[in-house]
Amino acid sequence: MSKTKYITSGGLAFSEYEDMDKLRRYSLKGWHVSDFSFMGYTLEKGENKDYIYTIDYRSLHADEQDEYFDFFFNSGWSHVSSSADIHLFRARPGTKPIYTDPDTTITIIILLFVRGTGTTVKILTSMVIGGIVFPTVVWIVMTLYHKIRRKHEYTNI
Amino acid sequence: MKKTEQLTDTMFYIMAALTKPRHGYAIMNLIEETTNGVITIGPASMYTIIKRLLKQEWIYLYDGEDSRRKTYELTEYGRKVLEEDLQVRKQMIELAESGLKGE
Repeated sequence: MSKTKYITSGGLAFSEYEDMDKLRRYSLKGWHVSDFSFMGYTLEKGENKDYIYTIDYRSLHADEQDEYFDFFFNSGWSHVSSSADIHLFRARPGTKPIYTDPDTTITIIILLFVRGTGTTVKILTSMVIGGIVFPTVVWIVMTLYHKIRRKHEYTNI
Repeated sequence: MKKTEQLTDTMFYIMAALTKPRHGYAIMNLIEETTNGVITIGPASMYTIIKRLLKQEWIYLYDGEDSRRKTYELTEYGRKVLEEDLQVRKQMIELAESGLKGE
C-alpha cells in the first residue's frame, strides 16, 4: 500500500494560487496530490518531481468529459482528480496556462455560480470552512490558552 | 440576429481555423504553426470558446463519433460573422500601415 497523507486547503475561493503553490512544494518533496478530500487534499508518496498545478471550474455532462480532458492532455496538463465541477490538473513547469484569453476567465466564474450544482456549492463551502472557520477556532483556543496561562503565572507570583 | 460585438482575437483565430472541419487539437496546432508559436490557446479558453460558438450557432458539430476528437465547422451564419469581422480588421491594418508609411 502506498503512503498517503492529508493536507488542508486554504479555501479555494480565497487562496487558489496559494493552494496550487503549496501542492507544487509538496511535489518537490515527493508528495503528490491524488485526490480532493474534506477541506483539503490527499497526497501520495512518490519520487520528488517539479509539477505545477491548476484548477478549472466547469460543469460537464458525461458525453463532454472525454473531449474536455483531451484538450488539457494535448496541452500538457494531465488530469489529477475532479470533485463535482472542480477539476485539478498537473503539468511540467513551463507548460502554457489553461486560460490564455482573459475574457474567458470571467465567464467561468459567472457560469459556476449560476449553473453550479449543489455539490459544487457544498465543496466551495467546505473550502471556505477550511479557510476561515478552522483557523479562527484554532486562534481562539490559542488565545484563551495563553490568557489562562498568564493568569496562572500572575497568581504564582 | 445581428452581430453586435467585435470578435476577440482568440475567437477570430478559432473561427478562421473552422472554415474547414477540425477538432480542438487540430485547431490549436494550426494556430500555433501559423503564428510560429507566438499565439497559443490554452485548453480552458479553447473549450469555453467552442461551447460559446456552438451556443451562438456560429459553428456546428460536424462529427461527434470520436468522443475525444469531436470536429466542428462554421455555419453559414458563422461565415458571415467572420467575414464581417475580417473587414473591420482589414481597415484596422490599413490604418496602421498607411500611418507607418507616413501617408
